[in-house]
Amino acid sequence: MQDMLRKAVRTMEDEGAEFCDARFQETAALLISVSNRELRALSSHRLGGMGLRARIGGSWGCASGTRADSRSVVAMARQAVRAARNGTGQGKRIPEQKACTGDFKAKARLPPSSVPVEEKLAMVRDLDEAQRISDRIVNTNSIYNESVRTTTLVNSFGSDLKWEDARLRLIALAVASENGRMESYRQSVSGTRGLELVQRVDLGEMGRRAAKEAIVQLSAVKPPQGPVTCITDPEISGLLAHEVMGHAAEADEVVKARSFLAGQVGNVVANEQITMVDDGTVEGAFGSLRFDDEGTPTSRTTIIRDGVYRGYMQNLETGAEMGVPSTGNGRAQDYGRRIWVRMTNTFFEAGDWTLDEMVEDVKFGILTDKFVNGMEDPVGGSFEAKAHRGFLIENGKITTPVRAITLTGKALDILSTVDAVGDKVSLDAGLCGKGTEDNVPVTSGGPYCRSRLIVGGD
Amino acid sequence: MDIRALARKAIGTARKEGASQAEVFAVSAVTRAAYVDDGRIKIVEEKSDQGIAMRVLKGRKLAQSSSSCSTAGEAEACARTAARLADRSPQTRNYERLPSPGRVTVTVNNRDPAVSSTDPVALAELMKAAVGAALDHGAKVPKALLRTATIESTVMNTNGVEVTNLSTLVYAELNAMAEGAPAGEGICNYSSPWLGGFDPEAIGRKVAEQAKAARGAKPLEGTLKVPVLIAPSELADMLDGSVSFSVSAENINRKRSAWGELLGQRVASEALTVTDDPSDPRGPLSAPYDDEGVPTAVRPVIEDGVLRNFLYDSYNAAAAGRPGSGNGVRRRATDAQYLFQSPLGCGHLNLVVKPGTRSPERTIASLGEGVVVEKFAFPTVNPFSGAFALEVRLARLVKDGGEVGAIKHALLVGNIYEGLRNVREVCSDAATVGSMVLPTVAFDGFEVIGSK
Repeated sequence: MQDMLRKAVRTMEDEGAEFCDARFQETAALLISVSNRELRALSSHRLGGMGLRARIGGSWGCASGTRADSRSVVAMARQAVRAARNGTGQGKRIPEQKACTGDFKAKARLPPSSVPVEEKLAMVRDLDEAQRISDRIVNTNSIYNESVRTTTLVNSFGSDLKWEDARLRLIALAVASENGRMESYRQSVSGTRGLELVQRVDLGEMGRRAAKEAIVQLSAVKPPQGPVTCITDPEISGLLAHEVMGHAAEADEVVKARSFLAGQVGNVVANEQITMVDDGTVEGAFGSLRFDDEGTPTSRTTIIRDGVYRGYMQNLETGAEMGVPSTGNGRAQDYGRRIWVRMTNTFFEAGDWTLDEMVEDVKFGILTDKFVNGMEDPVGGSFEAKAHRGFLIENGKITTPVRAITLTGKALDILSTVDAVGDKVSLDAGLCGKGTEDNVPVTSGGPYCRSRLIVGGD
Repeated sequence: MDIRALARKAIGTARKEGASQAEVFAVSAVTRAAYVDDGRIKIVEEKSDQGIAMRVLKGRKLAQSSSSCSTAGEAEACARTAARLADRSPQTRNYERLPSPGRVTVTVNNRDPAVSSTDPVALAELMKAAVGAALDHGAKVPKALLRTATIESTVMNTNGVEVTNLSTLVYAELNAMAEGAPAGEGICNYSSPWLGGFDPEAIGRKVAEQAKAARGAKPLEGTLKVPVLIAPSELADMLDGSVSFSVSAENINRKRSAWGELLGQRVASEALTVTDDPSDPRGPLSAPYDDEGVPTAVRPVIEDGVLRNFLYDSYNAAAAGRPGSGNGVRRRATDAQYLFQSPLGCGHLNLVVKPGTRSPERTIASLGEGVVVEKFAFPTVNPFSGAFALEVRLARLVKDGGEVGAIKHALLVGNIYEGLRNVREVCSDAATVGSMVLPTVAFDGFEVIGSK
């Protein structure tokens, strides 16, 4: 395959591309889904194809296809260059990069492919069975997903690479119902590891916990509305890191002045307890990568240090535009979709408060639990973060469970109101879209954080 | 080999591997797109893909596989994988037969020849015109895309089903920015099978006006409990997460539909009639056959507020002991890449909300007080409970029948299932949003929570 990719790059260069790259990606995945004790999916998926990019004068031409024979590859290469000539984009030339070479395997002590399907199926069925703790549990769902993506990349700087990204995820989702009311709760485990990740989890406990908390939610009350002191759990803290500051720190939003963070480097943007990073090298995390989709090794980018804004995440193009190296954040959903600047593992660093200390000081507030989804607003500087549920805090004690809560506010206002940062960080996996498309695996996280937010829920 | 020949190859291999029944969903698509960054055409692209998705039954043991597919070897490998997974699968409770051939009941034309004949350079020209229109109306376009796709999908199985659907789709998204402190953002979408309906001047003007309104919007103070009108672009996701979720037989079967026991009963106000209409040429997923090869039909879902039908794919129909309704869906309404990878879902093809008689403007004029939501951050609802709290990015305040200003940084809070019972009015406009055609709808009973 590398020969074909080299041929594509040579053709694009001959046709006039100033920079070009060619990727072949093959993803193999297995999905097992059990619901209400019934197998609903046992399916294998394979996606393979080639994506070519040619850059001329600040515009890109892209072509992709599933055929990798010589004639098709040359035709695609010419098509990409032709398309690039029809753009009107402006931008600085991408400076020569150090070429990367090598062949890198995914790190897994127990590669999923070495474990029989029957064992995985049994594991998912056990997880589903564990959720059946009460008649009030009306629906159990257990989902296992493994994937290995192999990328082969050649570019006009001489990079010639092959690497694997392996991911695994196991989810339990229980739905409880009583007197016409329905509530749910989920538990999950995920990472860029092999099956050893799941083997150290007590599946019985994971399933029972999902079911038990779904039942707890049946008696949850309507959350308070309006500005409230809020202790965000690590998942919601991570969602704030991701939605509030993360998207706006993607340099492609900055170079076109679409981000409220443009020009903020060196300015105080948050309470001094806040340090935030994007780190694609976190061992085993769901958003970790060896290389981004441009073949740049991933790295750790400090976005905020002690409340001061430090820098942006970059790909090759935005790095050229801003005169800095790529941080290895050029990512695409797959070979046939656009490479944007994207996050990897984005999180707030730990402070020195315990959760008990944070709760003690609160007369009235809420403690959130688990994220549902969120949406960035790089232009307006607001954000939306939906929490699965929460608990009231009254006179320094965690009391009544509350139903789903949405948190919002103005990003810079929120971060300046943070007055306590917890002492333990954890990360949680998700899929991140740029707007509503182009999903890539990420994690976000942080410690418990206390701030003042606008909340609401029904 | 052409994609149908590959599909036949896969069926033959599955048979050799011991499948009692086998099905192939084979699809090829050509996607063209032009992306705008910072007001300029940044990326022009053309992408082609093809692949197959297989379902194999060995007795009542069911398994699936999918693969991008250009060669006989890939087709055979995909079939072998599905057959071998079926050996490891436990028996299904009820599913023992893939669909049989059926007679078509609807005709539809949602394949636009202009989509196939328009190259990406021409798409770039359309986007330049849209960007120019936005600039003329006071907003720049930092980010936008226009995408078209031509799709051919074939379903064939060992029971004699062999059907082909041909369709096109066009999807555009424009993000405009009105500069200032603070800046304002507008986001407008276009989705349709038809390129001719994409009016660059109109969408450029609309998104610019939205951006300018967002720039001038003020944070809401306090709480309002007034009638709320929700624009089609925002309401579509809310109905997808409630109506569509709750009438899907998959969720009935899993006992997690809020409407599982309510067939024949009132679930909405009389003003609301919702139909799944796969004959409607405005729907990108409209088709005479679903993605299992079962004939589709025009089917009332909610009629004058009464729940009339659930929607069934073949699996959930078997679980319910009744025939399928032609609602097995793999295709998507706004993009067509790698459709063979999409799992077979059970849902609507083209959900149409029957419009009312008055325009949104006349409805607004009739209100003493109200809020008109143009843009939420991300309008999802909890499908189990119906609860939602959505960040309002742009809404207009109404007083004495007229608009008195724009607001942002507020939350709209309520329960969509209760909201459907409290529909105040369905307006007469209609917009295609993904796989729905719907008007603006006015609700009573929701709360708007301010930031102070």
